[in-house]
Order: sequence, then C-alpha cells, then structure tokens
Amino acid sequence: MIEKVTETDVLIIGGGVAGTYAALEAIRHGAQVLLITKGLLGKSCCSVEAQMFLCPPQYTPPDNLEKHLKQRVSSYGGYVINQENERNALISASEFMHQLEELGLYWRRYPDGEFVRMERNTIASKHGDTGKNIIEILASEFQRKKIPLLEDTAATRLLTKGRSIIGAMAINYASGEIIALRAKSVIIAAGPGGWLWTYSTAPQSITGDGLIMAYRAGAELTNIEFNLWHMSDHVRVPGRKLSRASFRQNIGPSLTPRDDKSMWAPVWLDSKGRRFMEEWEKSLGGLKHEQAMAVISQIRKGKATKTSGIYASLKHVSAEDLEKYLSLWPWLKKIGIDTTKDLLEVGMCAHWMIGGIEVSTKFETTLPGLYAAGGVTSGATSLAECLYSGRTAARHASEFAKTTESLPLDRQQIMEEKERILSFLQMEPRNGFSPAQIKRRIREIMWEKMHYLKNEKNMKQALHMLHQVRKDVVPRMRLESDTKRFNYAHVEALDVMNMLDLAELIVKISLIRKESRKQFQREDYPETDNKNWLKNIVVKNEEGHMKIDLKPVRLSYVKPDED
Amino acid sequence: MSNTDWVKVKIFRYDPSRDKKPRYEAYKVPFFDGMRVLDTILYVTDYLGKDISFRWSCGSGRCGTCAVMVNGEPKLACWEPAEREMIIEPLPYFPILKDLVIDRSSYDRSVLEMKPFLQRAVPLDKFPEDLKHDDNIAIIDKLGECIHCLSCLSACPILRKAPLWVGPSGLVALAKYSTHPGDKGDKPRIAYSEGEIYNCTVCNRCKEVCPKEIAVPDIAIERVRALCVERGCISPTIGNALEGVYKYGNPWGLSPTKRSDWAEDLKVKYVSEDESTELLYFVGCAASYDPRAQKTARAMVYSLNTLGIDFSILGNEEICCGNEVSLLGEKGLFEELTVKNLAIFDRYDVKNIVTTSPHCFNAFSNRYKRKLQVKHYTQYFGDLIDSRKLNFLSEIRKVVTYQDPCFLGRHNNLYDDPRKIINSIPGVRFVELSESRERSVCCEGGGGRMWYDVQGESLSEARVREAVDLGANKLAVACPFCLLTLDDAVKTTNNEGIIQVVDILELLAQALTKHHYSSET
Repeated sequence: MIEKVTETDVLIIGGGVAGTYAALEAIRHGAQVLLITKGLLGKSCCSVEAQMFLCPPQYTPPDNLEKHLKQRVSSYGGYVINQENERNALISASEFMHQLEELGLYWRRYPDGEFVRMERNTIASKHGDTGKNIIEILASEFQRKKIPLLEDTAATRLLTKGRSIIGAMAINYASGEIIALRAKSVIIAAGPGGWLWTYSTAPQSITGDGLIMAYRAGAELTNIEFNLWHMSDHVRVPGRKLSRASFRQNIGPSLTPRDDKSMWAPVWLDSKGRRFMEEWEKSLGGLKHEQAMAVISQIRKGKATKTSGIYASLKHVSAEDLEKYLSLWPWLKKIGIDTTKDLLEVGMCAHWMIGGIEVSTKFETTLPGLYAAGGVTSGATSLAECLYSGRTAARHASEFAKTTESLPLDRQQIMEEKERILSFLQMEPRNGFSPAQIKRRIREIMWEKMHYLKNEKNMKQALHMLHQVRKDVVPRMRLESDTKRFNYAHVEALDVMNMLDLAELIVKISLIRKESRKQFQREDYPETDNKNWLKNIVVKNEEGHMKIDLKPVRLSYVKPDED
Repeated sequence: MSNTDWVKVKIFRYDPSRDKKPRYEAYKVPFFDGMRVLDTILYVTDYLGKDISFRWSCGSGRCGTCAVMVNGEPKLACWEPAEREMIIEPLPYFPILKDLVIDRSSYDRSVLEMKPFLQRAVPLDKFPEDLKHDDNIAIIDKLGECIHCLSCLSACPILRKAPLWVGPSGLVALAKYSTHPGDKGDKPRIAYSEGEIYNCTVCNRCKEVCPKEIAVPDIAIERVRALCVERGCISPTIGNALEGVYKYGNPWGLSPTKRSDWAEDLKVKYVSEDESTELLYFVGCAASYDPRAQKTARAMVYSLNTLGIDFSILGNEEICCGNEVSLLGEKGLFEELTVKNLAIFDRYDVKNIVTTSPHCFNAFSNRYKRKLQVKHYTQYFGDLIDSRKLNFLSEIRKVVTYQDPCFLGRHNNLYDDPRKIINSIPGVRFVELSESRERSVCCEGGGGRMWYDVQGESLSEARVREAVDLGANKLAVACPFCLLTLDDAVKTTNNEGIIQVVDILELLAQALTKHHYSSET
C-alpha cells in the first residue's frame, strides 16, 4: 500500500529559483503549498550554478528593451521562443532586483556605487555566484516562512483525472517512502535536461524528469530540438586530461570588469596560438551561436576536438581585477593556474534547453491544473525568467486552486506507478549494469551523436543506439542493494527511463527540423529557412503515440531581418 | 600500468538499516592529472558500477553538498585534488543516512535559528539602496561565498565536545547580515545565546579547511563579537576579564604592582629611559601572574642569561598586549592598549621584542598599526640554533611530544622552530601527536576561552591521553595558555607522574645547564 497520501493546494516540483519563488508567491496568495525537490532545497538545482542576471532596461540605454528583446529572441533559438514571456521577464527584472535587494542580496557595485554590468545586458550579484546568492536568499525566506518541504524526494509521475492534473507520485529516497500527493494545481519547476550530455553545465540531478513526466501525462513540449551550448566551460590547464565530470567554470572567455568600468576581454586562441574569433571575443559568456560555429570550424578542420584544442588567454588581464570581480579566482589558484603565464584550455558543453513544456503567458501548460516555471519550460531560462515564470505560474496556480475542488486520486494510477517504481528495486542479474553506468552510456551517445552540429546519419545512429540500450541494457539493470534507505541508485534507475525517453524524443524531433537555426545546426541542412521553418515543433503524447504539430511562430514584437 | 597510474581508494560503506557495522571497500581507479576526489568516486559509481550513496550536485564548488572526509580531513570532493591513496568517509557529527551521505537537517535547523537573513526595520522603498563597495560590503560579500559544505564544522575542535553547536559556518550565516546597513535585527543577542559565539577558540582550523578560504575567525567571529560587546551580550566571566584588563592591565584583575614579582630574585635588567632597549623580553600576563607559567618566564631569563644575551623587561610597566581583548571584540579597549603599548615601546626606544606567548607575538606582529620587530621565543632560539650559538650541556633522555599553539601554527605558520629546538636537545626522542601542525587540536585556551568554559570533556584531556598513549614522558608546549590547560588536563585525567607538561623554555633551560635545572635557581 501507499505509505502516505499528502494533500495540498499547490504542489511545486523543484527547489531551484523558479520553484522556491513560486512557493513564496503562492503562499502570498493564500494557497497552501508543498514543495518537493529531488535533492536539497536550493542546492540540487541549476540556479545555484547561474552566473549572471539580466540587466533591466532601466540601467541600460532607453531603447534597450526592444534591442535587448531582439538580441535574446534572435540569439536563443532564432525567433522560435515565446516573445511575450521573454519581454515580460525583461520588464520585471528590475522589480526582482529591488525585491532581492530588500531581502539582503547585494548587487555588485563599483566603488562609486554604480552597478557593475557586463556588456550592456547582464548584471551580477557576484560574477559567477549570482544564482547561488539568489537561491540562498530565497531558500532562507522559504525556510523562514516554514513552507512545507520534502527534500530528497523525486517526483515520478503526474496523476490525472481525464486531462486534468490532480497530483503526483514521488519517492522519498532518504526513507524509501513512496508518496501519493494530491493537489488542486501542480507547478513543475524541475529544470531542464542538461544531464543528457556527457559534458554539461547542469547539476547531476537534472535528468529531464519534469519534461518527460509532463509529456507522459499529455502536455505539449515545444522547441526541444533547441539546446543552448556553452563554449567556455570545463576548463583545464593545457596538457592535463579533461576531468570527466569536469569542473564547470565560465572562465571565459568572459568579460572582467575594472574599477574604471571598462572591461577586460579575454582572447580566444586556436591550437597554433592564433586568434580565431576576434569579432566575437567581446560577446558575453561564450553562449553565442557564432562563437560555437567558430569552435566547430576548428573541430572540423581537425585542429580541435570536442574537448580540447581551444584556448582562452587572460594574460593581459590584471590578476587584481580577476581577484576583485570574478568568483573563479580561488579556483584558478587552487588548480595552480597562473593566468599571466598559462593558457586555459576550454571545452564546449551542453548548457540550458531552450525548449521545454509549452506554456501560455500565464505559464499554464496545455493540461488543466498543470503549470510550469523555470528551465523546464520552453523559452530562454535565465534567472530573471525563472523568477518571472515562478511568480506568474504561482499566481495563476493559486487562483486555479481557489476555484477547484480537490479530486480523489485514481487508485489504479497509484498502484501502477508504485509497481513501476518498485520494479527497479531489484538486484538481479548480479552481473548486470548499475543505473549510473547506463546513465553514463546515454550521455555518451548524446555527446557523440547529438552534439552541436547534427546530421541525419548521426541522429539515426543515436536513435539506434538508444534503442539498443533500451532493448539490451535496461533489462539487465540492477541495483547493488534493495535497501530503501538513501538508495540513490533506485532513483537513478528511474532517471535512466526518463533520460532514455527524453533523449529519444529530442532525437526524433531534431530529425524533423530540416534546416539550421542558431543553436540547432545540421550539416545536411546548413541554411536557415524562414520560409518553411519559422515554426515551433510541438509534440505531445496521445495515448502512447507521439503526435507532432508544426505551428507558425508568433512574432509578437520582433521579427527576423529581411534577407 | 605502473603503480603510479592508480589511485587506491577505500570507501566507507554503511547501510544503518541493515548493516551491524560499517565496512570499507577498496577500489583501484586509474589516475589522471587534474583528477579530483569527486572524479575518483564517480569512477567507482559510473564505471565500476558500485552503488555508493554519495551526495553531490553542481560539481563546481557552489552547492556545497559533496564534502567528505579524505584521509581524516574534510574536503569538498569537487574542489580538491585526488590523492594517490585515499580513505573516504562521511563527515563526522551527523547521523549517517547511507555510505557517504549524512543527515544534515539538524544543521539546517540550527542555522535558521541564527536568522541568516536581513532583518529590516522598514521596507526598502528606494532602489537601488545607497550602498558602495566599501570594506564592510566587501566582507559581507566574502561571507556570502560560504556554501555551507560543513567542512569547517567537521574540522572544528569544539564540535568534538559540543556536536550540536551551530559552528563556524552557522556563525558565518549570522555574521553575513550583522553589519549590513539595513539590518535592525537582534543578531548580537542571537549570536550570544543560540549561536554560543564564545565557544569559539579562534584556533583558525575552520579557515584552514574552508574551500572558499573564508577567514571565519577574523571576518565572522570577531566582527560579531564586537557587536556583542557593544550590546552587552557577553558572559559575566568574559566581562570580568575585560574589566581586569581595563582597570589593571591584565585579564585576571591582579595588581599591576605585583606584575614582576616573579623576577624579584633573578638577575634581570629593567628598561630605562637612559638607554635604548636592544631586546625587550615581553613576558605577557599569564607568565607574569600565574605561578605555573611564571616558571617559563624564569626559564627564559635563565636561558638568555646563560647565553650572555643582553635584554630587559618592562617590569610593572608591562600591560596586556590586547590579543584576546581584540578577539573578544572589545575594539575600543584594544585600541587603547595598542596606543599605550606603542608609547611604552617608544619611551624605552625598544628595537626588538621577544615574547613568551604566541598570543602577544600575534598581537604585535599582526594586529598593531605599526610594524614591530617581534619574535616568538621559539623563533629567537631557533635562529640561535641555526647560527650554532646554542651549546647544550646536558641530555634530556625523555620521549617528548609537542602541542602546536594555534597562534604560532595556524595563525602565523610557525611549525618548524619549536620542533627544531626540541629535536636539537641531546637525548630527546621526539614523537608527533597524530593531529599536529596544520591539523593540531586547540587546547581551548585561546580566543577568550581561558575565561569561558564549554561543558564536556576538555580537548586538552584528549590531547594528554593521546600523548600518554604515544609513550611520551613530556608534553612540550610553546604557549602559556596551552601550558595551563594541558597541565590541568594531566591532573583531571590522573596522569600526574606519567606525563609532564613543560614549556619548551623549560627544556631549553635544562639542556643549557650541566646540572639539574630548577626554576628556583
């Protein structure tokens, strides 16, 4: 039997900035809230790794809102993202800054009191630690308000009544309890799926659980073929092998502020020590498609690999400024990098998913009672967007809860899911594979075949390889112990199924888009085709079948320049 | 592959719901340059397929969940390099959930009691707030780097006797907002009551293990204690000590006219305004007043005289150096003491200073506004050994071990001179305590703890027991506080006659004389 059924108005799945902020907003609206998180509140999320914050238009030149919007909408996915949500988040950014400062967040200032900005579009509490500082403050507010919380609790399935979402199943792996949660509305804020790739900026728990749970329940997903990549993470000193779960530090090339408000721009070098992307060096963060393509062209010429052969030089940057402004400084010291002499070898890695659960401007999903916020949604997902989506989803989810009766859970669904969860708690065959080994395999497939530059052959191979994992490897998945106490491998077995399903879905959708568009690049279709492909690929699960819809992109505010 | 290409790791395995006791499993993992502790563990899970329960998340030093004990030292797994041989265990003091995972919920609850948030009296109606990146904000910013990885708690010696104490990072969380211009909360009171801020001995062990290099004693403990003093949130015994310094120049409140009584029968020169003072022996309060510690002062005088070194003392004009006053947060009094001491040094044209106490040494070398030429006596005699000016005349056939004083070791990085002196004494067999040098365990005499007790078995008692187990006859110290606390511990553990706590000065005085040295001589 189910050990526990818990009831709440609004159930929030995910303990990052979006989920935590949603919880704070929902209780402000009088809703009873329960937040469950796969790890520890504010520690197992992507937010803790976020480095910068969107600079509100107020602190940049007056025309900046439209410019900034255009820059984001064009850079991230090439006009496929939801412009209303993006614009609203930008407008709200200063409100969030104010509110966070009220709670004690310190936005980094120059000695004269002016905010430190990087380029024109981002601002930081502390360069590199902005997300950590924000989530720490929100988590502390959350705890202070004594909002009900279940940590070490992984949601495994959404519970439905017809199309409506009325709760979720979860496993608390610290105790082994399987829990049925009944809620009037549910907000998924479980983050994207960065852990699908070997090298990623995501924490290890970000296995796409929220996306695939929503998909299985029938929600639409959009743009999931679009994934943002980071050009300059996973740094090491040349000559040293890349650490496997390698250290991610946005070393740069990344701009370093100076007291006189000018910026140090780092220099990118190829394996021969020549600059190869001069015009993009001053672009922030190493997120740009153009930067990725410069790196890719090095790889294609055989001068670099996916994990080596690209260098950043900070030799011209003063150590004092690095120490003063960048949180990476202690780490550089730790690994013995002398930036005045050493080059930093950098590697590309998967960053955030541009796509995700399709949401309206109210952050409703396509299923009644289900809302989504943060990295799990479609659209760019920076900290400001996490705050905006968290707040908006919470307002509407709380309102929805007020007008909705709590519906009884379906025993059948509960029993099925309980059985499914328990089916992984087995130790046979002894010579089988651990979930962690299989997760590694899935990530390797995605890394090898679904890297930045894709083609039909590789994608089909990826599908085939994933299918083999499902067919040959998964049946041999076993745990070392069937204990219920902090058996994280048990959760990882559930991760395997989530990752497999999501990876396959991403590959299948990617095969459909026959063009190249910013972060979605195909060798076999290298051109952007606005005539045929200024579209969102929307996918949903209809009774076990993948249903695809191509919907024209809504160009509400900005549109592509005429070529 | 050759032997050097492997990491040999033993990992703690324990399922409290099933296993009677923990076990260690050994694995061999291929080594690569730049490998971290985390990479080692992940190889065992992701490649060898072992389901080791281990908490980690970001892998980049931000979430603070992956700290484990590596060879007895707390390490953030994603931050620290792998060693060729490692024993990896969960952090101590917390219930073990499974393998390397601890239940940290009690910590989270106690941190919340510290009110680790900004307590504004009025809402912030104006944005941006009028803040500049000044020294105060820079410190708040630095305190904000804490990731609550619990490394400091795991290393803090006080947790050994008070495992429920919120510890260094808990006080960092409190300190973070305590000097924020907008904070109107009751943080000093909380620090004093729930935070038990006077538990801290300022031994610097937390700073030593902090992956973010947060100088907890300097920027958290001392700053908050200063607020505690302002608001009167101090224990009565500490209040008395401060009052003693204020009124009589020493924390025991003893008469200044008796300060140099210990030297009455010795051949010792007092400073004079008529000539400059080449070498001032700054005795310090403990060695001036405490009968046991006075013996070290006498041994100092004996040694200097034996070597024919010209030196003077301040006699009854000497006053407290202010080190503990400053650590206790009484900044005004400390300021006053520095002014007075500097005036005294000027009056007697003091060129060089040698101290008995590492605490005085620390104050003069790090905390005074003016750079003073000061040495701790172990440095002074260490230099004489280097220049071959020490001539030992008798053997000390004893097994000797040594307690590193925090203010010599971790605070000032002086580990070798004391050992050099001990090892150069003929006949001595020197043995190290298992936790020594950077990992030395505080005697609980520092940071004002001479005047404030924490319930439980004293750390000094554990130190004495270990020294006895090592077979040492003498436990050598280089600090009067260590001398007094460890001496007490010898008595309370009934080890009198088995082991003797001696100051290195006393060993030195004995070794420098052909006859039996007695402090009465």
